[in-house]
Amino acid sequence: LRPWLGTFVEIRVAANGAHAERAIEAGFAAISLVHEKMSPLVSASDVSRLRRSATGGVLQLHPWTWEVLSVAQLFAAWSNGEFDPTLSRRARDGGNWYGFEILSSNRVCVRGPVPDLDLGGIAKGFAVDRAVDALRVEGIESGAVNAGGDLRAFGSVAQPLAIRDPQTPSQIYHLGILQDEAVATSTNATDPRGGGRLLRARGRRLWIGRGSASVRAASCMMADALCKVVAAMGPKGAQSLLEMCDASAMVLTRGEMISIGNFHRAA
Amino acid sequence: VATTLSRIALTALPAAVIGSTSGYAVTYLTVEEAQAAMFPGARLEPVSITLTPAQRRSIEKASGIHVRQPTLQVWRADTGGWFFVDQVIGKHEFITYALALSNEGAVRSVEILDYRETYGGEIRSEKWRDQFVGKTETAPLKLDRDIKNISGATLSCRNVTDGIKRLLATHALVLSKL
Repeated sequence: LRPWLGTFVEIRVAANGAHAERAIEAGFAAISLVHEKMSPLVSASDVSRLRRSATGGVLQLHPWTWEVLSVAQLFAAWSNGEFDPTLSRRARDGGNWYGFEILSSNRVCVRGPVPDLDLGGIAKGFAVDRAVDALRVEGIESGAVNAGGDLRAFGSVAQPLAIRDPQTPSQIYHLGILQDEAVATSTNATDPRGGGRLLRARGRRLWIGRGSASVRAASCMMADALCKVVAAMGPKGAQSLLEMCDASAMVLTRGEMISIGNFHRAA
Repeated sequence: VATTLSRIALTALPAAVIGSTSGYAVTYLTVEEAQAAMFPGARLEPVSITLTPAQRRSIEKASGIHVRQPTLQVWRADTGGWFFVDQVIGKHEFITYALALSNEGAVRSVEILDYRETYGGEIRSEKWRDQFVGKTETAPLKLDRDIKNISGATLSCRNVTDGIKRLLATHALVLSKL
């Protein structure tokens, strides 16, 4: 097993030479920092510290961890606990999801033990966004960052978007282009843990079954969080959240392709 | 068009810690600082309230805005008035803002507490926030109608505006009856 951010990360920029090299280094440095702060496999990471924290503990976090946790907490509340970064057994068994109290100035208070806290996908999406920021700061006008399927294109680069059928991997659907936008996909079919972080609260099954849910949004973190909400709640259940985030989704399940919003965009 | 340089790496990356140039979400005001600024000299008591399903439905009906969670972060000022903290999503990240209402339910002020400025911090401008002052539950609170939009920050503008509309309805239908 590889570490969760130990997926392949690819950075492409529409530039070359030493300038491009330097920018790419800065992009990977941002991803490396997210890994260092949010991987549960790094014992000094914020996520590991939160996992070890006692109920009532107040922790000072890196500003990036605080931001990802704040967004995770919002999506957990808004999806009625269907998006659950704490993988709380208590919530699955029908108890309340207690999560965190988000305090100002990068502090949080742990409301109950969170030994399984995993910011996995949403942190991966966040890492992609921060890599894009770093590239822009270095003066790169156009490019794309891909971390294991969490993909964001910026500037004039038009990235073709193709999604594999979760049931028939040889089948690939071409879904137009991605430009100045992000996409993330959530699937149950290939997860060796049989659901993993997609485990739905209260023991109910994922709406997508063994299918997949993909979301287009302005940022990769939003796309990643939303694709999990769509996977759990289905297109109807997630529709108002998608609209609020100006996002669109596509679900592949049971031999059907269901779109919400303007997901398929021609070049 | 320049040629494309592409590189793939496994993220077992060098441990060099970076003085990263990428932005952070910034806490401009803590909740306590916002309370002191928006209700100077007042004592604020937290009000513990969970909306019932019927209350959520009535707020949604009156405001046209989805009520996503039953809990509120609200305080009552001993000098009269209400203080709310609420979170919404902007184009790229999340936004925490505070809303001060008079005892009668008119907007006194709006402050942005936490915000990431990577793509411009226009909604923090006083001019934009001042558009809400005096608004009540009966105001349309619609972008491009009684609230000006900011080009490039439409999602942030819309979601903050919708949030304030939802809180005004919450005050009118629930808090004003406490």
